[in-house]
Amino acid sequence: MVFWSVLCLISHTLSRVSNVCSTPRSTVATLSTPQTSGLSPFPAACTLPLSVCILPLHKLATTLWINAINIGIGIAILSFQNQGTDTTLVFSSLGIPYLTISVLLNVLLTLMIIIRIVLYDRKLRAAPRSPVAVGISGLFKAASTMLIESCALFAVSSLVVVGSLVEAADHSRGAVATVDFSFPILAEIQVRAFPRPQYPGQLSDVTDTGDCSTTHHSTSRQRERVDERSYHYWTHQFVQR
Amino acid sequence: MPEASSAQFSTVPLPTPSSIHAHFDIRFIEGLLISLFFRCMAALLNFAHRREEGIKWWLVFYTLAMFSFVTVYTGMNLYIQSISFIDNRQDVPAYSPRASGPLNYQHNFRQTSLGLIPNTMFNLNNWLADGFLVGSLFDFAHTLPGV
Repeated sequence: MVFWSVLCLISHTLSRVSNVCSTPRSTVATLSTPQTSGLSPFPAACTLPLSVCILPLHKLATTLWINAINIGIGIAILSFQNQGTDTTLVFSSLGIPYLTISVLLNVLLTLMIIIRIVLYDRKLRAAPRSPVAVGISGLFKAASTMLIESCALFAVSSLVVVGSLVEAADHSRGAVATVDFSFPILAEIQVRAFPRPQYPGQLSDVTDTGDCSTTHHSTSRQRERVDERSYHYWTHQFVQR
Repeated sequence: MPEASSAQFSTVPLPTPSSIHAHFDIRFIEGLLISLFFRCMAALLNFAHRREEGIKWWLVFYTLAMFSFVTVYTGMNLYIQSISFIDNRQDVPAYSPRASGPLNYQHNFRQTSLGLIPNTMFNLNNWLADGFLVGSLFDFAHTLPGV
């Protein structure tokens, strides 16, 4: 399934690339007559993210595939710009799937982390002698913080840029101006992922400071305490921010 | 109305005031970014809080790289906006089908370093940000096994 999805993506991207390359240079460089280029951004904008959705989105390895596809499209954009293709045309044909897949990746990663927090919370609550210190409100606060910080800001600003790029394919003045000033804002919002001041350590870091030497040889009680400490480490980190 | 907008676009250059408003927004967010960067670096390099695990230098350099990329991108983009929308806003095209104005001026240097470096910085910054989120997810999955 993954193989066929990736194959479909690669063939589609190659067809788009060949389409851009085969466009005559004179019509590509013409800003006032964009209709003659015969390129529409909508097929690439729709089919590439939809092709990514075929992948098994609940698996961790899928995020690596999507990230690799995103990097490939970015390299293609830089390559076409270096070859002298019209920047507006390149961004409207390849930039839209690039940003859409990036938004998809961010939303997917955020949901994966939130689902793991919720599952871990349920697991701890079901355990005997469960130390429920954070509670539902703390969990909700952690999830909403993650949604806003990791997903919402970037998604909203990216959708503004994507909408402007779709309009800019027709070279309307307002859309081109919107792309001009919204791209730098998007670039600065991307660094919302600055490493957090209290970056969470590995489980081995947690076990080394306590009485549990390793995860593999610990008893069930020790493993439970490690789980509790790991849970507090993550949840308090998000709640206190 | 693509024909009408194209005709209007080919004869009338983009107005300068919208570009200036955009500059104010970008500088405001850049100020937020600089303050966030210094707070983050102060926390990452704080020996008192990191006595047990030590300073994670890869995080420091990762943050520094992301900040450098986005600062170079913003600086060069502001410069491009300035020279195209203010200094050369009535740039005349080399041949008739091309549109006049700042976009024509930007189109001329798209293959030079002035046109390529900002987009490269944007892509590198995007890859670093996405890569950090992917790494966080794998780190998270490792920290909470069995979920």
